[in-house]
Amino acid sequence: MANSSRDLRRASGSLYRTRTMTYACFLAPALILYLLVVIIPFFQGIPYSFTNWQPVKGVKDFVGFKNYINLFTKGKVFWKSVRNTFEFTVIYILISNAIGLGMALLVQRSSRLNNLCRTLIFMPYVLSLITAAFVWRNIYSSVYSPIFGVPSPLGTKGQAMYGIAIISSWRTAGYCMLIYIAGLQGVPNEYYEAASVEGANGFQKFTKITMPMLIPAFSSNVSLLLAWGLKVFEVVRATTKGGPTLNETTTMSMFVFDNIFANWKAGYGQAAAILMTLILLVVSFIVSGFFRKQEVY
Amino acid sequence: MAQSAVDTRKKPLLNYTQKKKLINYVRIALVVIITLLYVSPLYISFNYSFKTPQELGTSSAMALPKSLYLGNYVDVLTKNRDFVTGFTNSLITTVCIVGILMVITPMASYVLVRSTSKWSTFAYYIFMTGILIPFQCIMYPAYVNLKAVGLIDTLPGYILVRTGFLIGTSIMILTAFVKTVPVELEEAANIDGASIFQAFWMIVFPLMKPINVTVLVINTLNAWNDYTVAVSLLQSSSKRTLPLAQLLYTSESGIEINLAFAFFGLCMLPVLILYLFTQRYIVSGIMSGSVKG
Repeated sequence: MANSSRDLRRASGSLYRTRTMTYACFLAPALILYLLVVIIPFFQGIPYSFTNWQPVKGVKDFVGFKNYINLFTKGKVFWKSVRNTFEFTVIYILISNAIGLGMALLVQRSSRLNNLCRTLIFMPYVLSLITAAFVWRNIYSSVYSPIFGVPSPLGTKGQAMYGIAIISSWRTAGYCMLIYIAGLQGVPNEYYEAASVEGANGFQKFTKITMPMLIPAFSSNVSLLLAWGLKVFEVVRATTKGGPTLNETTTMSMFVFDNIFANWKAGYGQAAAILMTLILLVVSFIVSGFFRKQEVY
Repeated sequence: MAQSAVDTRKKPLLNYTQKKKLINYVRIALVVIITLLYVSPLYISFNYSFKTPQELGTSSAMALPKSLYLGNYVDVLTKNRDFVTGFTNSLITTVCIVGILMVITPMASYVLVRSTSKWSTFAYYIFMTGILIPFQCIMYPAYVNLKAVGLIDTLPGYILVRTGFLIGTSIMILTAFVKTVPVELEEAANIDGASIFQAFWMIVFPLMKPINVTVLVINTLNAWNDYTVAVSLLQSSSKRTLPLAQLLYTSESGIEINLAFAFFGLCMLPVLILYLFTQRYIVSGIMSGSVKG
């Protein structure tokens, strides 16, 4: 009897060991690749930011916080790029959400026409930003300009950022629309019926029922677009390259890329990249915290 | 008394159902107009690509081409070396990236959900924290590392980095789904003598089909459309992927716009076809709130 229970324990122990081994084998490929390509390089980059590494000149000396101090005291272009990035992100979030919510309200019910329109409005999302940028460069110059008799916004001082934000929004507004439709479908019909019985009009129903019920959809749209918007890179590179006036549309991502790969000031660029990561984290935590507070009510 | 009060009131122009119908017509008109405006940039692009060079100067952007002229496409396919190289490279890298991801991430997500050990919880946190790191932050270290092992400016090096960078989001989407797969099915299979390996590949993996298709499509789009990673790691002209070739092509001076749009049309075509066939999965994935990025 005692013998057989020991056998059983041994058998279950080996079963447990096989299970652990299989689990380890399942997890290992993804985890190892992730560590090698994302996590380890991230930590490698921190010491790089304390050097004056310039691969072309072959210098790589430890300089302490000099890069960071330079960014804070002399980094006019960097802070300009931070401001540009935020300006872009705000316009981008506003346009995408406005179109997304508007279209969602129009096509929220499933019908053949509505589904077709959803499919078409979402379609630009599958195109690359390079493609979208090129398509719109031509729309601005050969359709918009002749119709309104004004030059393309991409080449006009003070308008370029709007032009870029419109291109990015065109690509993602359909995404916002889908999230809003999902949010609208989650509102129980009884709420509207009860409101009708009480004599509420359409506008009251929208502001008192639809809008509060859409806060989760709004919050997930804003967080997502914030994460995309603060990293904006391709569209600017494919349209204005930072112009039309000097650094008017340079963004954080472009500043980092240009310093590392165009000017080969890798240490300085890496310090800017780490500041960029910190800005991204702080802003997204503040925004998601703000929305969490809203959803309590 | 009440009857006469109703009768003397001014009759509304439209009764309730008529009013509702009118609102619906206005809504349909709005939907159609906005949707047409919204897709007009794509219409104009494809329109250009079917026009002959002579037609360009005379007809407006919106006007249909006089005939279905395919010369621009033939030109790009036969004469443009950059397009052919870019297309081949994009195809190779996209297939490899998505292929690797679709094997390793469902397995990892399964373990992350089923295992109760603190190690797998720790691994899950590593994946989720990594999502917050922007590529700009690891761009230079990745470049240095690939250079050290001789993989810089090679397709395998690019595939490794691009795949690694898509693991985090794939795992986030997949784990959320695995949590909804009932564990009883696997237990029953285990009692019948199936190993964990068999139980996963023969029971859980087939159950994950809808989310696997969603992740596959999202990853394919991300790999095919990637510019940021490619521009940092690939330099020589024989290694360029399509987005790099596209941007270089359009920054050359004196490009012919109808040829350029044929070039871009051919780049868009694969993803548009993929989208039209799988849109059901993408749309449901996004609407369920599981897909982010």
